Amino acid sequence: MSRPRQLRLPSCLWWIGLGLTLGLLLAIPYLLPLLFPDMKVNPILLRRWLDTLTVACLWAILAMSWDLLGGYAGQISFGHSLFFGLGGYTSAVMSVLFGWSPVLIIALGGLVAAVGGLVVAAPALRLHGPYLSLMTLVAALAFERLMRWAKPQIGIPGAEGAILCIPQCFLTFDATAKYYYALGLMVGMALLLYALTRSRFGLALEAIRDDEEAAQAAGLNTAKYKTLAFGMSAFIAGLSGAFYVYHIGSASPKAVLDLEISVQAIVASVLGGLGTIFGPIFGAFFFKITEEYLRLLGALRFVVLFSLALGVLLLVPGGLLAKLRVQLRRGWQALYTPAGAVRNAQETGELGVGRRR
Amino acid sequence: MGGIVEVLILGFLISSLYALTALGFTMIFGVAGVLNLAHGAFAMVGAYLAIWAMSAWGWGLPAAAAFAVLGMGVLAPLFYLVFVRPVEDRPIIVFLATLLLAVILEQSIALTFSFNSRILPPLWEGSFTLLGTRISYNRVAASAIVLLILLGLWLFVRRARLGKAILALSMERRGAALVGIPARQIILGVWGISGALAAIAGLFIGSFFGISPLEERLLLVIAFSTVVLGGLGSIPGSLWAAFIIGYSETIIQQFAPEARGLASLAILMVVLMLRPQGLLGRAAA
Repeated sequence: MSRPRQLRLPSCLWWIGLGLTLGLLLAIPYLLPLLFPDMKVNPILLRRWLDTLTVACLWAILAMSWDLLGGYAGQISFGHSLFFGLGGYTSAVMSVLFGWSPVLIIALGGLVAAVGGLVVAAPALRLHGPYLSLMTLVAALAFERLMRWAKPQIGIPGAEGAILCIPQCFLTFDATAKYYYALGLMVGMALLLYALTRSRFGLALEAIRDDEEAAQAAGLNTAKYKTLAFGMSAFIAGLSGAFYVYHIGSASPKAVLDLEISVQAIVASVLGGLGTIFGPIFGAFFFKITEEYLRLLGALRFVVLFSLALGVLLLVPGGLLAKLRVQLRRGWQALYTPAGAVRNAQETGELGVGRRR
Repeated sequence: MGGIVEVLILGFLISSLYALTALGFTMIFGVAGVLNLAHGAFAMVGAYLAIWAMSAWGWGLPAAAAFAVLGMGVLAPLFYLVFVRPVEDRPIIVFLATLLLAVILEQSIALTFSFNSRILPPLWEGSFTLLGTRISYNRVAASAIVLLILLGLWLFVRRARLGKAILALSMERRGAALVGIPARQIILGVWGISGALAAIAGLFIGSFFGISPLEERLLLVIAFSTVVLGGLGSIPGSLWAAFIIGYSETIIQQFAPEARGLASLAILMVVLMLRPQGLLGRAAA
C-alpha cells in the first residue's frame, strides 16, 4: 500500500492561525478579567499577569535573536546575556545622563549591542563549534565581571555594579500600555526576522549551518554572512535588554547579565523549535507563563521547566510548535479527505487515501 | 619571600585541581566527541553525594568520599545512556541536552540542600611551617593524591589494554573499529571514569573553597577553558593549560585580588584568537 499523499495545509490557513493568535494577544488585557473573575476584583493580580506577559514578549525577542544565530546559522552562542546586558546598560546610562526619549534610547541600546556583536564576531569567525560557544560564554562572563568590578557611578549606584535609574528610565505606570509596547516590538521583530530568514540572507545562513565548506565552495562569503548574523542577532537581543531595563527600572549584573538569561533564551528556542522564528515566541511565552503559574513551587518550577525542555529536546527535537503544526495538518487531512481526496485518489489510482475514510 | 612561596604552593594545588576537573572533560571529548557541559555539575553532585552520606547516614569522610566517587562513576554513564546516546549523532542537540542536564542537576541540588555554600571537612588536620608560610597537611595530601591519580591515569592509558583502547579510539574511530575495539562499551567506561574524576575534583574543591550548587558553572568554565586552551581532546595539553591558568589565577589573586577571574578569561580570549586549536592541537592526543 502506498503512503497516503501529503495534503499540504493551505498557507492561508497558517496565516489565519497567526492572525488569530495575534488577535488573542491583542485582546488579552481585556480577556483576562473576563476569564478570571479574581482579576476583576483584584487589579494587582491583573497587573502581575500583564507584567508576566510583557516579560514574555521581551524574552520572545531575545529567544528569536538567539534562534537567528543558533537555529539558522548554527552558531551556538552561550553569551546572549552579553548582548541583552549591553542593551540594558546602555538604556540605564543614557536615560540617566541624557534623558532622551525611550524610543531613541532603546534603539541606541540595540545599536550598542550590535557593535558588541560585531566585536565578538571578529574572533568568532576563526572559531568553530564548541570553540565559538566558549568564546561567546567567555565574552559574556568577562563583561559581567567587568561590571561588578567597575561599579559604574551613574544614577543611583547599587551594590555589585547595579544602576538604578527609576525616575529616568521609566516608561509608564499603565501595565496594559507597557504590554502593548512590548507586544508591538515583538511583532515588529518577528516580521523582520521572518522576512530576513526567508530571504537570500536566511538561505545563506542555513547553508552555512548545514555545511560551511560546501557553502564556501558554492561561492558564499561565509565570513560576511556570519558577521551580519552576529550583528543582527546582537541588535535584536540588545533591543529586548534595553526595553527590559525600562520595565524593571534598573540594570544590574544579576538582572541583565546573568548566564541564566542565555540559558532561558536557549530553552525557549528548544521548546518552540530551533530554526523557526515563531517557535521561540511560543517557547518564551510557554516558559514565562508556566514560570509564573508555578510560582508557588518556588525553585522547583525551574527543575520542572528545564526537565520539560530536556524531554522536548530528546523526544520532539523539532519543537512543540512544529509538532502542533503536524497534528493540525493531520486533522485537516482527516477533514479534507472525504470530499476532494477520494476523487483525487481514484483519478491517480491511489486508493490508499480513500480507504482511510 | 613568604608571598612567593605561598603562590608557588597554592598555585600548584589549584593547578592540579583544575587539571583533575579538566581531564574527565577532555577524555569524553577525545573518545566520544561529546562536549559534556554537565561536567561541572558532575563534580558538584559528587561533593554533595559525600555531604549527603555524612549527614544522612552519619558516615565518616573516607567512606562518604568513596561513596561519592563510586556514585558518580555509576551515575555519569547512566546519564549518558539516557540523555546523550539517543541523540549522539546530532552534536548541537547533544550540546544543548548536556547544558539542560547541568541546570537541572544544579536546581535539584539547590532544592534539596539550598543555594548556600558548604565546606567539606579536611581529609587531614594540622599544618606545618615552611620558609615562613603555613601549609596545611590537607593541601599536601590533596596535591599528592591528585598527582598520583594523574600518574596512574597516564600509566593506565599507556600500559593497560583498556587504556590503550581508549587512546586508540580518541585517535581514529574507524581504525579502532577495524581492529575490533568495542567502541560503545568503552565509551560507557570512559563516562564512568570521567564521572569519578569529576567527583574527586568536586570533593577537594569542596574541602578547600567550599561548594555550592551554582559553583557548577564556575567548574564548567574552568574545565572548558583549560581544555580549550590545551587543545580539545589532548590530555597533555590539558595538563599544561591547567598549570598556566592555575598559576596565573593564583598570582593575580595574590597581587591584584579585584581582577580575579578577569585575567584567566583574558588569557583564554587571546589564545583563542591567536591559536584557535589550542596550545597542543587534537593530533597530540
